[in-house]
Amino acid sequence: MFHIDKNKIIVSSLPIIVDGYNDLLFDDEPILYTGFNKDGNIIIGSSVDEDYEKKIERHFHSQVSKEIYFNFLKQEISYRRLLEEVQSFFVIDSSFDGKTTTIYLVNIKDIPEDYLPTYEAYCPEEVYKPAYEYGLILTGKKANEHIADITEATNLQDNFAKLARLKIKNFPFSTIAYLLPSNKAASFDFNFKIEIKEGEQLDILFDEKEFMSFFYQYLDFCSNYLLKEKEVFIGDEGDFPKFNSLRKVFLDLYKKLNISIEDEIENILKEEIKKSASTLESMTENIGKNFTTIQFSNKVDGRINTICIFDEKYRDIIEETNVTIEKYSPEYYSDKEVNSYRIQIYNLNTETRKGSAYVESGDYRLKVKFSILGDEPIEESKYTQSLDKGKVIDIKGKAKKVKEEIKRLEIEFEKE
Amino acid sequence: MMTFNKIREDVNVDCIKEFKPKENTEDIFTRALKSNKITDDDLKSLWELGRKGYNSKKEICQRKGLSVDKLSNINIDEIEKKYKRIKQFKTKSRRCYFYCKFRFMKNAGKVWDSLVIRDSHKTFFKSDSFTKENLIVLEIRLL
Repeated sequence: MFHIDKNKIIVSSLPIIVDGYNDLLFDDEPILYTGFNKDGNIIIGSSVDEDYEKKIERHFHSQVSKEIYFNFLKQEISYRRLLEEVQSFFVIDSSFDGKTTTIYLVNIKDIPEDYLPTYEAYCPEEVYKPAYEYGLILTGKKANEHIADITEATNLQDNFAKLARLKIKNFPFSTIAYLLPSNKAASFDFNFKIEIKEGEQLDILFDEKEFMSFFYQYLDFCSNYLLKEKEVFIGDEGDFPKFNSLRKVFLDLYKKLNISIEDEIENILKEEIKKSASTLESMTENIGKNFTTIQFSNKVDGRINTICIFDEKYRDIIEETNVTIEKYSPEYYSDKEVNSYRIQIYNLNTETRKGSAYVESGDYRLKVKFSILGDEPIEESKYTQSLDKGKVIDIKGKAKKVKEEIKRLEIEFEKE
Repeated sequence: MMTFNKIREDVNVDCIKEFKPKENTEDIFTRALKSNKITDDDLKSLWELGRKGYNSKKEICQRKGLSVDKLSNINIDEIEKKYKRIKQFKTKSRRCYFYCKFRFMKNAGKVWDSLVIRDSHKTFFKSDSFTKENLIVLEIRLL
């Protein structure tokens, strides 16, 4: 066991996990684990070594930001890099009987190289188990005061319900989300329970748990890996490990339901993902206004798993991803000239000048995404009036269409 | 008749009654090893090594038993990846240089579905008469 100067000893409960303990790697003992300290900050811990003469076991604990934690969970950074970047790095010595604990506040340079994790030490990949409970936690700005704008809260709930309502072609059932009571500790949160809504004939071979594992993997793909593997939607050749893994599980589900449409399977899955990606764009379009992040998580075997942290960067990337996928469609068309449209705005982020609206198209009203060009303030404009009073307004802009259906509007700013 | 007095001693939880482990002589399991031979050290629980500072019933019972992975729940590549990963995180790990595939003989002990992270993870409670000869070793491989 390596020596640490006594002057590094501190008296603090900061690195101690008191809530949400979760093993990430285990063999006889927890090798890698996470949890929250008394202030609700994320702690990552790992087993380092034992001294059988002094009867001491040693662990590394570090306090990490949500962003670093999430990047670690998704194998974006190794544990070694994480330890090099964290500001609060602790060594904790506990006696074998658990009665005494010594905490050292250290720098990574205090640790001999042969005790540090290697640069190849990446977090184990997520194991997709059946998950029925999902949650959205808002943080930052108003959310930290435990309040949320009603329109934004409604938008989030509606869009989550849409995301969770998975109705796949030929499947004799769909999923449905119910709202659960809030957790008091979170800044502002929504909790949902997902249930299977059975259709006319549900095959006796259908394994609900298997489907719910797929559902978890599906949401993880849409939230995270779609951004990295979007080329699978634009016909590029390449390695798409996460999409292929999801596709395989999806195909197995079809096989078990005795539905033989193997040729179509990829397109069916892609169409579902596109719909969900569009919903995720709507879900995240208010980020930056009254809250800065949405932590998307679920509960498996009593453990909370973070699926994704949606922030401003994510909001912009999911939009770019959807635009890229739409543009690739053979039926994609963009107005060459500015045209007139009648719209009613139902969601608008005045910070980003982007939102969602109903647009009149013949006898129909379509839901579309829009952005307002220019940099003139849009508060007190006809756009906010449309939002606040539910007014239908005339606008000028260019539409982007797929299969003759308007998907997006680029609106030219007009004062009146 | 198997007895589990060693599992019951020194703690205020009866892991056998609480978690209802079952004898399993059918399936193939794996366990990480220190060398290319199974030694008694490889089969000592944390509790036997004197590491007893745990509180919850589940934690105590996990440490009274041994971690094994059931091969039918996981493929061998994933097992190897797991053991290699342990060495990457805990470079001073006592085991994880080799691993063995084995079956349990009758009366070796009982297996608990302790479900830590993966379904393949099980906790094996040695019976009082357990020795390393109670394992039918099929293969030992280098990690």
